[in-house]
Amino acid sequence: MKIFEARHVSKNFGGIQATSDLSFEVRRGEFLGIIGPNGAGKTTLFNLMTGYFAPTSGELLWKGESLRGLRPDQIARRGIVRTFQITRVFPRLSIRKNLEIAHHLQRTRGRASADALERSIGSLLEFFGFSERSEIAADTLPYGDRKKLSVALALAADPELLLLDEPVAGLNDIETAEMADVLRKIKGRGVTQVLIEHDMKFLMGLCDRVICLNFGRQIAEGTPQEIRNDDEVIKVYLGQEEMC
Amino acid sequence: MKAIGIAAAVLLSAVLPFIVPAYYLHMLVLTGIYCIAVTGLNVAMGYTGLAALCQASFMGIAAYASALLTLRLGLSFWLAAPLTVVSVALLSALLGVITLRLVSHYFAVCTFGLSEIAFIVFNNWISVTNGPGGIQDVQPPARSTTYPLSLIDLSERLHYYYFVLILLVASIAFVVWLMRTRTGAALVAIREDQELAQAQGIHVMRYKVYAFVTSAVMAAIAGCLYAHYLRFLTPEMFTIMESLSMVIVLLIGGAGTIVGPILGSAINVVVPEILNVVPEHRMIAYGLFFIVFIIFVPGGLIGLSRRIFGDRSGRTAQSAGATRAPVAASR
Repeated sequence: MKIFEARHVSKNFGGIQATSDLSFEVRRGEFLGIIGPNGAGKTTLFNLMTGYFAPTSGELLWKGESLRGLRPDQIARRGIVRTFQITRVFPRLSIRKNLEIAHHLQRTRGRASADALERSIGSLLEFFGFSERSEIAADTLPYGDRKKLSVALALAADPELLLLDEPVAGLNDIETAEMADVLRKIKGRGVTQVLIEHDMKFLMGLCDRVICLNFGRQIAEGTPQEIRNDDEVIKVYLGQEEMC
Repeated sequence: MKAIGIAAAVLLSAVLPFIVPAYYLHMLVLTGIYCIAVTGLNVAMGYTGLAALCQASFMGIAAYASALLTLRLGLSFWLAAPLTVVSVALLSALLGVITLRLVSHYFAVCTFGLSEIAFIVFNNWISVTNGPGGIQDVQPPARSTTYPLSLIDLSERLHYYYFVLILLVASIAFVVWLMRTRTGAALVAIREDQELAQAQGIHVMRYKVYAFVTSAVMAAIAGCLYAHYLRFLTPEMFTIMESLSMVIVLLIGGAGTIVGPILGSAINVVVPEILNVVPEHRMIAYGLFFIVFIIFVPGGLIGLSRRIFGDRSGRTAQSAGATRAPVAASR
């Protein structure tokens, strides 16, 4: 069952084609990986999916409904929430305040009472291991924790589709393992996820399905196993002796 | 503890006219009016991170509008002032919708331009504003039999002081309330990281316009109070320099805090008085103050006191250190 679909999506910046004629779908509940060399158009794709860029041509569909002309906040409202490659948190606010703000949508939808909000914040603090430190400012957190907080913020917006842009870039092995654990649990909650990541071991271990981009085009699609053995992918991205 | 502090502050401002020499009552009234405008600016700049350099212009537009409505059309202050505030709100909403598409310094430059335009209009639209000659004989709010406020006589300086004080307390209370609401949280989110705020589902444009209009409304209230207190207006009262000094006053006091605007406004009036500064030299002093504060006291006086005495509430409050250069914060 597909919940998201891209149909022949292209995005040009002047003469540069950041993505060209991309078509793919995201199925409900799956964990989709997106890989490709730098400049392949992965982040551009996220920016298109979340309304930060408008496609030059083609159509993006969320549950069969076009996302054309919608602002990022409207798209977030519909259930597609992203994180950013450059880790973004609200720097000078406490972790708790960060999460409070991140619940904005749930509050505007009138879904969450003050009690429910407090419970939700509490459970996110615990889920990400921030319970003891909820009052410290986000910009004083170590990098790995800031990465976690940025995922927590996206999760607080109650996404159906979560887009993760390099959540473990720059993290050490332990932190990476922790993040993998977190994402697996998120999947367990039934949240569909799309992951951009250069850490192949991490990505292949999590994803059900992988798409490989190069120069804005899709060059391969399949299970992690199929992708690992795809000649084209090996040629442009993985290289000959791959670790995974 | 906090409640006691607030009660003490309100009580102090209520008895202040009887403590200080009579001459300073005039200063107190002006401080109060100024403080309303800076409190407004704090919503846009301190909390939302919008470097709006046109606060004095909104104040000026309101001052002229209210004065002219009473003088030319013979309206009562009690009709002219609310009408003026509503009009400025609409004007700022219109300007906001257009200019708030710009971010950070682009927005600052744009509001700088608006400020210049306002001054040029005040100075050159002679048939309406009387140009550089200004407007004389603005009347204080009349006693009115239909309002409960008729009990007080606003041509009395002391009564005017209390009138200003009531509106100032109301403005501050409004900001305190606002910052506790979801809207307040959204404003702070926009100041902290606009793109992230948007990703979290916050309609950035709507909240920015809201902050800008709130800010302008408070400037308009201050403008009406100013016109009918001083009873004369000239274009020089509402130049870009006045808008800039409000920004500096806010930074010196502590942007993004409730007390910051009060502290800043008080210092703005008291310090030049004590040092007996020639008005022309005031901007030089401000320039120096500005540089010193940006570099050495980024949280303003409030931030400084928190650093010295520690933030006893233990919060990394939404305001803590919020005055890191506002232009940078508004990206």
